[in-house]
Amino acid sequence: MTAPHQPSVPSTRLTYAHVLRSEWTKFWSVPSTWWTLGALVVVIIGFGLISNSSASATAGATIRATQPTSAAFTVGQLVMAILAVLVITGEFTSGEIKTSLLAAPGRWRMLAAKAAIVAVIGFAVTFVAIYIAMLCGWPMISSFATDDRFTAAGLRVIAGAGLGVALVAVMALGIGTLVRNGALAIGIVVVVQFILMAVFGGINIHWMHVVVGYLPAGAIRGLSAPPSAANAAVDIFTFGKSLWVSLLWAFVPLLAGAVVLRKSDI
Amino acid sequence: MIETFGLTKRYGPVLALDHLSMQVHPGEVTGFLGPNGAGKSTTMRLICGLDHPTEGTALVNGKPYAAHRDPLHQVGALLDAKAMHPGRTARAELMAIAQTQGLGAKRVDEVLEYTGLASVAKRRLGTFSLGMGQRLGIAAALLCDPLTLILDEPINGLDPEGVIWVRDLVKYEASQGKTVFLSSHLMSEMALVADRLVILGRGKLVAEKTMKELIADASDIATRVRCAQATELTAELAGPGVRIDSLAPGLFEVHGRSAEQVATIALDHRWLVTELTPMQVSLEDAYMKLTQSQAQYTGTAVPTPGAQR
Repeated sequence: MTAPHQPSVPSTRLTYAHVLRSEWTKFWSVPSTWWTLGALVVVIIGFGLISNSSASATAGATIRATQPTSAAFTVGQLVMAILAVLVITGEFTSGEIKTSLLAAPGRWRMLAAKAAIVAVIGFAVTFVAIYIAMLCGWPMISSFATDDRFTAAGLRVIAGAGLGVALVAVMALGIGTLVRNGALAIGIVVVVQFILMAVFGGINIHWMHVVVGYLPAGAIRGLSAPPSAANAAVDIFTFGKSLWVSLLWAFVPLLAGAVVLRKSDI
Repeated sequence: MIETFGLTKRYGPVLALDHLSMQVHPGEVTGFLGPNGAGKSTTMRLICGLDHPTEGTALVNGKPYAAHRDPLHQVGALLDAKAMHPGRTARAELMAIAQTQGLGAKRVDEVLEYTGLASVAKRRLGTFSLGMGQRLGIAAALLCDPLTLILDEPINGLDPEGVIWVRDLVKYEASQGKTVFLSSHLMSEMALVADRLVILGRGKLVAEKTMKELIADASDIATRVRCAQATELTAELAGPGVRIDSLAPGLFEVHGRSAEQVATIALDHRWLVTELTPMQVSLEDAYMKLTQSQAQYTGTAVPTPGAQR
């Protein structure tokens, strides 16, 4: 250590943009981010290709080039939700949250920055990975499937999946903020996203299918459904309705998390 | 400048802090003392806005901490050196903190250099020792050259060179007109750096004094005497308000008589005094005297080996 001498430091302010920059640095500077995003890419491409390899001509004209989307979408949600949960619960586990909130004592800026990052990364990585899965998987189904690889409708299907993953990530971040415990938060996400879907979806009673439609995993299906699918099945919403229900599922936990974070002791 | 007004914090049934009102002034090093569980860390967390008070307010430079638009320029705090993600490198950790206030790599590198961490800047924090973690915590506190430094046990785990560096640092910062508020269990260290002291016991203010006042108040100055005729001399010294502790044959400490009085009596009887030492009250003694009744967690007294201290 050198003799005490401090160079002068320019006076600067705390702004949302500055906190966003800081959270961006924090997001990319821990190994768990790289592992989880790597896993996200692998499962999306892997499940996409598996899904294509099992597709057959008997299904006829309903098969599209973008069809790996739905398989990839489901597993992608879970992996991205885990990452979003870790982004906040990792701070509580390590105690880093104290350092973060000393730097940004308003608290909402930190959470809003994390939400923006997991949403944008969730969207971008899912979109790119599904696109790669679609291009790689195309030769397996090119003999019988409709080619929507480079059409606006095809892009919309994949972008819708990215949006769905982004919203699930925001929901998971909110749940993580509420419970502060990684394992518990991931457990809640799994119950909400998969177990409730399986329980209600497994019984062929009309009102149960209606409930499935309103669950987050049910609602977001409408975000990436091909244009005609909404008519095909009663429990898949139109894009507009899917968006509203999914936004509620994403932002109600996030706002609840923000309120609790602001009011509680760290 | 830190001010608290009736600051109170209750965690469930536990009253951690009970109507604490105090001031910590710029230009001085203020030491924060108290037994374990007295409420020192709670006070620091409340000042920094991490916990919300049950009652009362804490102001830093005239405002609640969270109301400042440039918080890290107002306060640099080391509250918990382990409060950092183990997977991140030292440099990334500081970058993230600096960026919240719009500062960048240049300032981070300066602070890494300043705190002696430049050579380990790219190591992950999980591999850091306690002392290195403390240095990084201090680096984080200094990043924005704050007006107020709040350091909770800053020398915990530091090597001797680091201890001296922190000592010089806090004195220097105070000399620059900064407010420095630090807690430590190491009395000898506190005695070297603090100008003022705030002492807590069981969540309450026990004393808020300058170091000189505290030591003067606790002064019941003892004189250590070595004399072959100790038995006769102690008999002569005895009287109302005088206490004599025999330490060894021919060696005792007398309270309530000055060294001069002891010397005069010995001279009158032609007894040879071979040692006559006024015992300065240390900060530790003064502190122990003040907080004896306040300690919540006390060990059983350990017998002192040998008669001499």
